[in-house]
Amino acid sequence: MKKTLLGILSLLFVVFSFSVWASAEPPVMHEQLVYSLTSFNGASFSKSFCPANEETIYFIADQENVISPRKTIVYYWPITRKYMAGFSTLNEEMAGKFEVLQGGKVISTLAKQTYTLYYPKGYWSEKASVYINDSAREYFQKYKAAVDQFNTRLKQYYESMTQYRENFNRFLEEVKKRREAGDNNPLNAPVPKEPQPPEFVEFYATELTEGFIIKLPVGEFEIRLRADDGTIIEGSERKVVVFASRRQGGTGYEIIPGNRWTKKENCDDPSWVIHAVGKNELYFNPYRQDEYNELYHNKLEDPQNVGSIERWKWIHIDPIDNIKVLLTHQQAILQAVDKEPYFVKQIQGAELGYEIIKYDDDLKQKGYKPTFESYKVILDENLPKTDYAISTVQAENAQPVPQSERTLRLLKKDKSLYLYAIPIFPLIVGVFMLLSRKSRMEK
Amino acid sequence: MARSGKITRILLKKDLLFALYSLGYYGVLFVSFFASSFILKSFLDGIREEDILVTAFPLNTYLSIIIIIISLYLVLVSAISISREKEQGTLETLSYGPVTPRSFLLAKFFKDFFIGIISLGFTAIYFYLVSSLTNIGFTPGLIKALVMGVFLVSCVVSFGLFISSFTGRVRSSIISLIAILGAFLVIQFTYNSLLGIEKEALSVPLFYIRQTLHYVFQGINWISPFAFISRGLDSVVLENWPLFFTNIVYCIVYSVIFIALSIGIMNRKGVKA
Amino acid sequence: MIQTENLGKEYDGLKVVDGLNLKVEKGDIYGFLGPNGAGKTTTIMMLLGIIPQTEGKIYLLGEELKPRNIELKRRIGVVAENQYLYREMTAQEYLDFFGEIYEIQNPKKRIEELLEAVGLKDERNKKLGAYSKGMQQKFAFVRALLHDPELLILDEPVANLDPNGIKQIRDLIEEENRIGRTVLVSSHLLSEVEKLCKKVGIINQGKLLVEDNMDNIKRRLTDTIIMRIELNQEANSLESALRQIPYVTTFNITGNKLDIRLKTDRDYRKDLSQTFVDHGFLILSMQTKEMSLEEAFMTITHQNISLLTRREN
Repeated sequence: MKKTLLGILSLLFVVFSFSVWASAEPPVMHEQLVYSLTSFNGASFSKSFCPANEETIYFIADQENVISPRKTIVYYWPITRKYMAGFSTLNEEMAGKFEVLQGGKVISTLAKQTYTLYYPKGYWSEKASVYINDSAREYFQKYKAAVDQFNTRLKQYYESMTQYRENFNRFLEEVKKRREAGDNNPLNAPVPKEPQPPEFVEFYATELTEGFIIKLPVGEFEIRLRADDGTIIEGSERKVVVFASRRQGGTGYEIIPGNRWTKKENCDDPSWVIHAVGKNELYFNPYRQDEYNELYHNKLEDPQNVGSIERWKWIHIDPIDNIKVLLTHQQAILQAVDKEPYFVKQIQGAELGYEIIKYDDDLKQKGYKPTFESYKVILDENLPKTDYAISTVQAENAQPVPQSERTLRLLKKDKSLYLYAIPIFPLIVGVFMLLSRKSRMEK
Repeated sequence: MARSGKITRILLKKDLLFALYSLGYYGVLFVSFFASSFILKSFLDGIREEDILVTAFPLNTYLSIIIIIISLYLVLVSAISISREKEQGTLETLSYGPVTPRSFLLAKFFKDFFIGIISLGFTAIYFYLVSSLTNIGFTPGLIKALVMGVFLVSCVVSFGLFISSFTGRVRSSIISLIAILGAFLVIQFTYNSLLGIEKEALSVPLFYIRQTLHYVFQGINWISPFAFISRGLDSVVLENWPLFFTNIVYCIVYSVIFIALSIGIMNRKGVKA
Repeated sequence: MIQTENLGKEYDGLKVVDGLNLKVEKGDIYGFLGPNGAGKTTTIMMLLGIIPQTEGKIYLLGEELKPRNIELKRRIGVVAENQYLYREMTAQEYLDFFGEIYEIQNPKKRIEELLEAVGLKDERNKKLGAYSKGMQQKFAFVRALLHDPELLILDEPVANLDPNGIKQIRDLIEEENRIGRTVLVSSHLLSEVEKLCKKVGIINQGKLLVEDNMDNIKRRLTDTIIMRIELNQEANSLESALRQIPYVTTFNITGNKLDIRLKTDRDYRKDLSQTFVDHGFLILSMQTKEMSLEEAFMTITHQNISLLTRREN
């Protein structure tokens, strides 16, 4: 028994050692048919690809997604345990008819369509819509025209700027000349005005591209690519799982702690509690949100992601506007906060920190833009350490926004040293038990 | 049957009382609570005044620490409970009378199970005091985890008894327990390491080893009581009631199977060391 | 009360008990004798259902012993060779516990009577771990008798006791037998069994060699005498001659001294003297060295087993 166990453990150790060595080897490149995906993730679009080893592609129901079969170079990256695609080395569009099947029967054959992803608040806003064919061309042209217009303005700006510098230099020389001549009277010449740069195009549209636009109801499907000679292209078959959200219309919060602007927290589920120890400045951003299955949604964002089928996650859809955020305690409103712009100011010196300040006219005049807009709740250090509530109401009629209430709990830190005393109580019970037995024995 | 139940109750009463007279048990509770307090204190100290923590289960991590320490204690105690009585001969003495392996084993199971429940009771008091002291909420999630803990304890105890049933001496029980749990860990690490290698890059033997380990790993997930602890506590945090109850059913089925196996082995191997 | 039919036990192909047919009648104090390793404890373990037999049947109190026949065990009291007690329990706690297990009516009175009988009444609140071996042995009797069993099975019951303790236990067994309890005593001490038992079964190498009443056993063990003879010279050359003599059962030669065991059916001293003279020896002394009953009964040895079985053959 012992020898067998020892043998098994030794074998496992050898395999373990070998696997560590083998994982350090350079990756092997493969040419492979993959699906390039632009999938609607509930709020925007996620870009990913589905390598040959992933059998299933996930989509949200009744939403347009783009799928594009391509030949590329694929290699395994042991650190992330994912396949990577070398699209810059090989990115060949696959020809053929794209078939969608359900229960083994072809339910539709798709042709390639032209599309663009349109970002109304700019590329970094992470909010986008897909437009197809004529609409796609229209939006792309709109973007292209806006960019052309911007470029024209930019050119004008640079010309004005050159002119401004010349005028300004002339102005300075004039001042110098008069001062050298002993003329200390006010200069009655106008100071040249610096031109303002043009605003960049706020929206963004991707290049017009071709792909299969797929929009399916909830269910399980199969997809494949059929070549012109009628054969099914090898490696093109995949399963498709189309799912919907479990709960819709919730209210979630993004919270920016005053001291950690870069590390935002989410308080999405109504059961979640915000714990703080006092003296906090918290910036709340309420969102409308939908709840999706974690595994499905993670796989939608990248088919190689992992997740749990039992777990659910909230996806922020849109910020909720025209509201007030309330801090209450036992129905009493302590603070009612409106949305305001804030600016993150870098602290000079060795500290290299930052502070969040209110965005005001002074900053505006200096040409700064607000870093973010939010609802600021201040937790005073003298607030009793108890439970409070954060909620959202409509600004115009004070009607509560559904599922927006969260508990905010202030923790007590001052007596935390007593935490070391609590574990002693089982020992006291133990000593009592022993003594009671001893006294019974003596009786 | 009724008489057998009565014998089990008598044995249980004796075992439970003497377990509660052992200062070692309270020592384990102290250690687990102290570990929890230590981490909790560090955590509270770590929260600067402006920081926040968003969670529905602020104390569940600490509960997990306590449950794991108590489980390690229970699995060890139950793993030696039968073998110790075999080694000391007390089981033989009991067998001269109307004590069957079944009534004996059930008594041992319920003894350790009740010890587990009492420990969870202590844990509930501990968290109540922690909550009063720090205002960290004694949440429904914590109560749910404590309820789940009852069933997890039953898995741990039945697994320990299973090991004890096929070993005749305390030393071999401890060695078997460490070897089995160690093997589970090594398999998990090895399998995870092999997962880091691309399937196509694996040699044929290594590929088959990975496949085998995959199935072994799946099996371990249904054999190791610690895998049940992980799943059970996860189901609490997931707030998925069907999953929560499914895990409870799994725990009950697991316990019944392991107790039945232990009784079968005891019947086969007899009462002597 | 106890009957075995062709009872056998085999470990790894080795027969430890072989075709054993025991019969203990109601009211008997039956001595189950044999040297160490003869198979006594294995037989008792089978009688108690602790280890299963590989062949044969066991009947206890008129019922066949089956693994699930737990109720039968309530009617048997057992004292094993080694006492396995819960060392952390006090004597009182231990007896209360067994009282509950055996569902004894009025256990307090019974415990008090029995502790009194073995002289442990004042030690009842001591932890059993603090008991001496002798105290543990006596205490085991208390536990065995606690539930008023119809049958008492005792395996080496006085092994760890001093003479006073042995007497206490002997008196207790006799008293229990007087009130109708059947007793099976397993021992390797013939002397002890002699004082208690009327009927004896002797086992060796797993086989029952003889089952008889005590008087016949005594007679069989004492039907030879030992002659101690001193000759005028070394006697090794006499070995083959002595082997030829039918009334000589065994002998031992050390230099010029001989111990010769002779049959007692008549006086062979004259015949023996003549043999020495015929072989050219002179007898310097000749003494009878009779084995005392105590000596013969002290232990069961292979020597006296052969004595016991000779006549049977």
